[in-house]
Amino acid sequence: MSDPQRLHPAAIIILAIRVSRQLALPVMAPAVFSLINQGLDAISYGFLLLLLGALTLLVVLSAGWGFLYWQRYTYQIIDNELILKQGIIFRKQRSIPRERIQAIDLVEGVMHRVFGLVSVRVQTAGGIGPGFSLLGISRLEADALRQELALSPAQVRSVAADEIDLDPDAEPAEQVAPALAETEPAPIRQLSFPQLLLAAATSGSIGIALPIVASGVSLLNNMMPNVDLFELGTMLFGGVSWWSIALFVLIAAWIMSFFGTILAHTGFTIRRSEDNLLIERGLIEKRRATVPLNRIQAIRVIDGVLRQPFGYAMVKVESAGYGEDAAESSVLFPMLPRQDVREFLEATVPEFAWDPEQIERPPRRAIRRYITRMTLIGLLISAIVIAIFYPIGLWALATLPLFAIFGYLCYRDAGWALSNGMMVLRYRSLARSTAIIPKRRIQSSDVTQNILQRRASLGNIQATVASGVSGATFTVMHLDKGVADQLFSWTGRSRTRLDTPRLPRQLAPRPMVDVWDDFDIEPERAPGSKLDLPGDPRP
Amino acid sequence: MVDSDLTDIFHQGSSQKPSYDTALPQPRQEPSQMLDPKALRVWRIGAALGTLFIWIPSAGAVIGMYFGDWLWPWALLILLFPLLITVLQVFVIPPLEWRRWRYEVSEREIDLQRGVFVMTRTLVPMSRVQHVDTQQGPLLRYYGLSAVTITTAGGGHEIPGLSEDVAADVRDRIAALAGVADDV
Repeated sequence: MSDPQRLHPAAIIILAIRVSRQLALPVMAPAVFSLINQGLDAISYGFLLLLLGALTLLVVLSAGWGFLYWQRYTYQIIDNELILKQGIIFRKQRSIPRERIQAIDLVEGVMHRVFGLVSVRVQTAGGIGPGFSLLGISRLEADALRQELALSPAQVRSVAADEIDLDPDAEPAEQVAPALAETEPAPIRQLSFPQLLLAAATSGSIGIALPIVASGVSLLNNMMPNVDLFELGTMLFGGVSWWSIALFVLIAAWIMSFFGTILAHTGFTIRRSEDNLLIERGLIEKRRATVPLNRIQAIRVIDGVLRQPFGYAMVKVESAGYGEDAAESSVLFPMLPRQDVREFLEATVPEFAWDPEQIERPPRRAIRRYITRMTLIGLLISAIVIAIFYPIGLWALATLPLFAIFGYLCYRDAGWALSNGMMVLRYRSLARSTAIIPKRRIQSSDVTQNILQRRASLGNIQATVASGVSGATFTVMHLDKGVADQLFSWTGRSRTRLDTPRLPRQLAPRPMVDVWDDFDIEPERAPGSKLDLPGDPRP
Repeated sequence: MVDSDLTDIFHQGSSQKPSYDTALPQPRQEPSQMLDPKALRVWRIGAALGTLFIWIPSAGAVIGMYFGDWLWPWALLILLFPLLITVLQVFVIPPLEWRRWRYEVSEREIDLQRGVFVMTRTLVPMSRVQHVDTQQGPLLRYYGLSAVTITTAGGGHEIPGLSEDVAADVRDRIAALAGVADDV
């Protein structure tokens, strides 16, 4: 199949139907508006003409678009690569190495059935959602494609869809869960009732509940313009102030998050059967999730702000898989005594059983930046509060030292550690997170440096792993730039520089020109920025 | 395996510096390849078109002021702002950006460098590449340029503005290498 192949001509109709749905509203808008404005009186000769014109435009545009799309869209297999060309205005050519294709789905919508077609959805590595799809080819062609891709019939999955013009790039509705073991393995850990209560009381979801309750209160205030909340409060409680309203909102939010956690996490049980983790939880609705071990990309140990003082942490898992399913299985265990974390990881995900007590922290000259950053955030929040509640909002400025202290905490908790093929990145956003990332799971890594960091020769290190349908990125800020560069280098696969790519001569390497030379900014060299770490010097 | 390697590290006294069983490698050298010089022109045209979004409202405001209350200091200010943005977006930033942009495709990874105010280096292991695209809009096509987009399970990365030949070469090379590269 080395010649470019087109989709089945009937795909034009499927494409046209799909685009006409998107175009329908804007094209028909004038007719709909006059109908809404003038009621049935609007139906006149002119109106019918307008309607007819709009309909014709819709049909011509959709059919034209469908045809052009079909004409431009080709696929072919050359040298173990699936090559796809598409695009009417924006041209695109996509290559997918055959080795990266894990399976194909044959999706069949109602229109497909009419013409005897299937959409082919290609699944690539990592269990990540469909990378792309061929909308509408015949079953015969689909089978030829499967053979070309050297996929066994077992790697082909048929999915029936009842939508007329299903979007082949949409998430599949159901996920084929790996078969469960016949007999339930013994639980590795169960959430006890006292721990459940403590988990509910210290739940981080109070942060989500708070704005909901606050907006609910203000909505209540707006809905009853004749009732002054202050007067009502005075009537009921004999006096009310902003403080008591704030307290009320806080308590209501806490109660909400308390019961939310109880509902979600009652009876949280984790089991392991062979290569899967089985998670069961829920008070009313029993939820079951299966996490295949080989899909786990990274583990995150989260010391919540409210939980850290009690010595408890939550363990989350970043796992590659289809949207909802991945989101559901993201909590591995909600509440765990800190000292049990390592043991827990050993029992559940031995590959990740590393909870370093000792990490390499950013240099001392980073303290100032962590503190400044949080203080600026505090200033911004204060400015908003002051703008809304002037003059009482001026008290918000009194919280600035708290932000500064929090900034210092962010510094104290940030750091990294490396082991054989494992990277640990620790950072604090609100809660302290410790991400345990196997090197082989890193999808990409970044080292970034802004112009302020450049002056102190600091930089951030980032590692991205697959998680859900997109990725999850972990960042440690303000490391020594030299260290960040070395960590960056560590994430790479090659130790020595490989051959330069064979590219045309006119793009031969040039000496690096520093763009900031023009601005005469000298990076301030901090003492001790050169690192003495054991490392084999490059040959 | 990991455990036995680590026991000696984390059971040492806290005063001792941890020793790493994986020594940190030397920092990588800069990526060697630069973008096509014509990319700079495309960026400038794109940025110039983008500034229309500020020019049109400002011009409208000044015209409105001309027919209403004419306050020339305000009119000047309203026109100076888009002028400043235009100078930055069209004349100052694109050349800096172009000079900073580097890429390199080696056998086992793709190395990118970019960014004027925030300089970013990105490393994409070849074994993580799921597919690679070249794409061009009307503007890029007019100048015979093309952009290469690399997609992994963690997101996408772009090398903008290569000449069509180079882009096709880079794309095919990455696709071929990605097919071969396996896990570490």
